[in-house]
Amino acid sequence: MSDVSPTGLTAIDEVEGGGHTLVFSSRVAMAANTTLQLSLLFAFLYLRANNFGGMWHPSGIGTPPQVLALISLAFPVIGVLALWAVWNAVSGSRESSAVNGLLWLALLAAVLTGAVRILLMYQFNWELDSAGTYADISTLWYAVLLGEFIGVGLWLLSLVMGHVRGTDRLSPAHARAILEQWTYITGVSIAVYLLVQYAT
Amino acid sequence: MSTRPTLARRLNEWGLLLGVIGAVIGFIIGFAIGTIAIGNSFNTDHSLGSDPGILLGYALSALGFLAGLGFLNYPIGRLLGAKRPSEEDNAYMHGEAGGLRRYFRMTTDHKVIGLQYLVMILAFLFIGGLGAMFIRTELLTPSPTIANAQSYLTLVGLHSTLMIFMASAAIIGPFGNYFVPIMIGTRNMAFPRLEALTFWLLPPAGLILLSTVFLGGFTTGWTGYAPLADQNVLGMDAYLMGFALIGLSIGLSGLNMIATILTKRAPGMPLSRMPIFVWSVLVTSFLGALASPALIAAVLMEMFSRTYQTTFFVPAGGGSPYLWENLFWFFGHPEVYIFVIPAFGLIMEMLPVFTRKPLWGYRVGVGGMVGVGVLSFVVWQHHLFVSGLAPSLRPFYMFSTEMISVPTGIIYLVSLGTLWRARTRFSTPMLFIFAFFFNFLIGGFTGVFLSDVPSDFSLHASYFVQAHFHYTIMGAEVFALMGAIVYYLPKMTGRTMDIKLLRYQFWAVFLTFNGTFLSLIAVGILGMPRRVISYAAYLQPLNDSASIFALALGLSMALFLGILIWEVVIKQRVAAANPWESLGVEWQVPTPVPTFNFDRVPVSWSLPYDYDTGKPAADFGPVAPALTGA
Repeated sequence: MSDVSPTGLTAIDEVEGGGHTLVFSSRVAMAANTTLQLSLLFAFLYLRANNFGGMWHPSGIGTPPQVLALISLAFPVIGVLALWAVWNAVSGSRESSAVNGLLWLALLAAVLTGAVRILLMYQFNWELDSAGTYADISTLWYAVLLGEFIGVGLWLLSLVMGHVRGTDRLSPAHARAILEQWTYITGVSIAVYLLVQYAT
Repeated sequence: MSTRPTLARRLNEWGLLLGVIGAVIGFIIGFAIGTIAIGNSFNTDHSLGSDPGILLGYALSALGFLAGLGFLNYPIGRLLGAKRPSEEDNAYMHGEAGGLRRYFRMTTDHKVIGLQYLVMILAFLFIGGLGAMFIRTELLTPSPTIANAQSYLTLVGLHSTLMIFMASAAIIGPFGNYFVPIMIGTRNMAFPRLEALTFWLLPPAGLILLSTVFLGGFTTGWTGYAPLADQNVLGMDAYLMGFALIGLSIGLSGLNMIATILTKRAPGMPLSRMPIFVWSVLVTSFLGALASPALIAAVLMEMFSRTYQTTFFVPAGGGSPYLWENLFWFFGHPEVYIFVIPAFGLIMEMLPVFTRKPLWGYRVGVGGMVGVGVLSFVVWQHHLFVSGLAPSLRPFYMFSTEMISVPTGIIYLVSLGTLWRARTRFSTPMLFIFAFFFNFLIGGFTGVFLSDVPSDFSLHASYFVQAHFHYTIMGAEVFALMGAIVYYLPKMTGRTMDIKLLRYQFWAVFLTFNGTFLSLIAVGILGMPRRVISYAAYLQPLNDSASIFALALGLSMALFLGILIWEVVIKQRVAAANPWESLGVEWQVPTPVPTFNFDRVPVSWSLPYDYDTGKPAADFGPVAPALTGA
């Protein structure tokens, strides 16, 4: 057994370090995601500014349905609030039943977020080969965000299942990391909504 | 104690085979769905299939490969709320008592992954090198002989893309993964499964890229410029999926390295005592994590264009080819430093060992690497000087590009300062270090010429650029790689190579490399464009010189591989424990390195370059009785 727990320091440090590592890594991932989002923003503004052949946003090409787009933002915001409450509860060592309820609420918000955004993309109704670059970049950007919501949603599902089944209680570090990720993507989604809806 | 291995473990033993089966099944399913459900809707008209079918087939084949290897077991278990893996499971996944078979399956031991990287990179570099031999053989005569223009362009694209793929991981893959955790005093990476994933993404990426030859190839070269990429046949899809997987691997590897280095260092190791190689990996990892998303964005746009007929890069549809060029080079230029900075790190790590004196200007060297990393994000538009950059922007990008030579020069001078009044040992790795300096000097000087707008206009897309690039990447990174293999192999495998024989090999590779690319610098100055199969007759002597040297270079590289396989795999020449008398902590741990690296983590650290006093980097402190079992 000489290979395991070599110093006695590690047994404690690795648990605390694990939480720190998770939160830190999650933030680095957000930084990398920011490059992706900025690349898409650059493409949006570049294509809009150039407007080659008047094909940025030809007449007859609409914007995403306003009401559905707003609903698709409401659910992630609910998710943010629920996850914030989860983080508060876990950090304050409150009873598990409250955490369970909030986790289920956050998960429900995540599922509805994904479902509504898929529905929203079906409602775009753009023929992408002739709809101009506004439709192209908007579709791609919404698809990327949908993928990110699904990814973080799956992470949330794994945390909920572990916590509810008692196999892996939710730690403050996990609660914080997923709150930050979900808040980040929600924030980006709101910015993208404003851009796509009003910078046409 | 465990009696019988679980089903998951027994399946894991056959991971590679199951991965191949998963890849085949994944491709069939993806191809069918893509062709039937998506392809027909968008009326793609390729005879071999549709772009959606090919792209989805590739995507699901990569996923099937990973699933077969067992990468989905853990996340699916978490989604179902299963218990976390036991200590015993973790030890198994780490490869404890796994023998040789652990090298052919998913494992979480960073040392095994380092060796997996090394073997795979050498294999793909060999294939890419064969491509170079074909190219130079074709260029022995001014007109086409063994290939036509289309297949020649595919060959050039395959050679360059495959080399770029592998060069991005050539140093960090084997040596970063193997040595960084040891050098910072931790038992594992921050995310060991993620580390394994970054390796196992590379074989499908390389094989998918090679499959382009069955799909008509691609004619864009490694830069994949639009709108040519839109017009290419199905082989272009292989390029796109290969690059997407590589981009993912680079980004995830960067994330994992950053987290490991910044949060898992041993107590008592501040950033100011990290070995310089770890610094180089840290800087490079930031470049990888922050630059690769731009590539992924560009590749996603091109995939959309080839499947949903979007017009991101087609002016008639409102798009612009410059959009691809901007996004690609925002990734592509930092990518060059992803190749070179770790090479510099390795060189500076090895240099004190052979000069027997401390690394001169350690902090300045670190500052130089950070400076190169930061500046590498603001120079990308020099690749567009000729293709349409607004004239008013040229001075800024010329200046920023020239600026980058300042921190690069600082790193160079730090290295040379270490050589000053040194008691240099001219051992074989040291020869590769000297060659690195010589080659990089030529690569650097030619680069300064190209950063200047007027000279770039006359030399753009010529063999001068190609030779410059090869001097910096092959002349620097590949020479550093070969030196590092000779240097670190005794630690990684307990085996060594015939150092005297390698001296002959070194001179062969050094002379033929310079013969090849000095000829090509001359060819470029005389105006020969790259990527052409035909050229003016008066250029034949220089081209023949380059080709003959290149063929000899190929043989000398093959000789290196031959010596490596003969000495390490077949003859198994046993190495001394610390043949170079290094003070680095990686040489203080036993060989083979224990499964979890340290019997005891060191209690205090110093820089591993104190050759004046001979003090080792790590102090393991007194042995506590409770830990020794006494």
